[in-house]
Amino acid sequence: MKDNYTPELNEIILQYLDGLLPEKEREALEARFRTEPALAEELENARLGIAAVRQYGIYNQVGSLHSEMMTELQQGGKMVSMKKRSPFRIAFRAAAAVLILLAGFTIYQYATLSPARLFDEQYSRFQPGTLRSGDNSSVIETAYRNGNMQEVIRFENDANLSVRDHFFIGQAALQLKDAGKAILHFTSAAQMNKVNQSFTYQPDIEYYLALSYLSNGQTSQARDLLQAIRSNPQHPYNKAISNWFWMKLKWMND
Amino acid sequence: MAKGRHFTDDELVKLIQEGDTSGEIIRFLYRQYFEVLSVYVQTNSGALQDAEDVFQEVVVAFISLVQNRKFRGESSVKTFLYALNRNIWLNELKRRDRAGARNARYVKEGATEAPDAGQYIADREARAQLMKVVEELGDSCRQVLLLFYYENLSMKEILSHTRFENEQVVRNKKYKCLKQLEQLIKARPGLAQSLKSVLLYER
Repeated sequence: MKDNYTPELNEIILQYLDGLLPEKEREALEARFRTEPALAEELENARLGIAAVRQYGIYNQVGSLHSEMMTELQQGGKMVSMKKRSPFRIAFRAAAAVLILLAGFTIYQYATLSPARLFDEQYSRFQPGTLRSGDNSSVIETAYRNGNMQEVIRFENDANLSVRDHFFIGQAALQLKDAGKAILHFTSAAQMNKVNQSFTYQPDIEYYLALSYLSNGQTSQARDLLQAIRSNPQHPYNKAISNWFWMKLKWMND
Repeated sequence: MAKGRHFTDDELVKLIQEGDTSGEIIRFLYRQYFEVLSVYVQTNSGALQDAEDVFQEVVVAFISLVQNRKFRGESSVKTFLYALNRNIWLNELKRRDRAGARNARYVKEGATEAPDAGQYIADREARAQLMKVVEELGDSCRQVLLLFYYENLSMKEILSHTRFENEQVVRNKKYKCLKQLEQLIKARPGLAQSLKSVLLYER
């Protein structure tokens, strides 16, 4: 089939593909493509050759830049080799991450520690027990039970305050964020118990006096009282002092 | 790392279709897409070197498909490249005879984002043979053909790049080299047929 077509005709096919033929000649050639299968095949072969050159060109150009780009990307940290990790390495990294988080949390806790903050974390309002029949509560205690702290404080300078009265006034002062006043009345209550050899609200006095010292920034006095409570497993407030709270209290500077 | 020019999807496609395959475009493709595409290969039984080789093929395939109007813009360039990357790699795994689950996965995943790329990717062997055939032409022929058909230079411009006497000599050289290439392709059984389906798209 090839022999039927002269080199000149083959060159005309190339001129056709290159878009160089005048319109009339182009149309005539296209008519021949439609009616002469062999000529159409020549056209196809020429198109294939041209396409092959273009494909080679793309390969060549990309290939020439490939090494350069791989080097650039490697230097830019964009080439990440994702080697397979052993379970041990994964577990180790997870454990390290947890430790780092824990260390970070601990450092944060230490850096933001203050007596006031520690007090806020630990303190909860004293809830008096239910009165049994026959028990008489004082006006002060009644006011406390009713949540009227200002009314309780009104009696602070009264004469003949009992241990219970001092205790509830101290509690009201603590709620009203007057730690100094709370210390005064808790201490009075403790002294009266000592003199009278009574035990009225004694464990509660010890615990809330410690918290009052803490709120007032008197950390070492707080620590001493709480240490005594921690050392006594029978103390009602023994379990209220968690290890974490105790550790933070120990961190505190006096 | 150098930043270079950034191209939008539309700019990229338009320039490539106009015949612009400058280094700037190719570098952009590497900088923008290599990292994310390499993760796929490396997390699917491939090494970093495999990812590099595959990406080079992806870029060649992308440019070729865009030039032949086979990228229809129905997805983003990124999605299209990802599909090419995945399909080329899965095809490679198949070739390495790790068929088994990969075969099923390949069939399952399909090539929905790049349907016209399927045939292009499948005839990898044909493309490899093509490179060898063009290499056989020799430097002089290869240079003339590339300058005219790839870089789209005129006869006058080609004359300035070469040592030929005049434009007619260049024209004759181009004709002879192309005929030589056609003969080389025909001489390889099956190659011409394979290349026809890969390279010749309806325009």
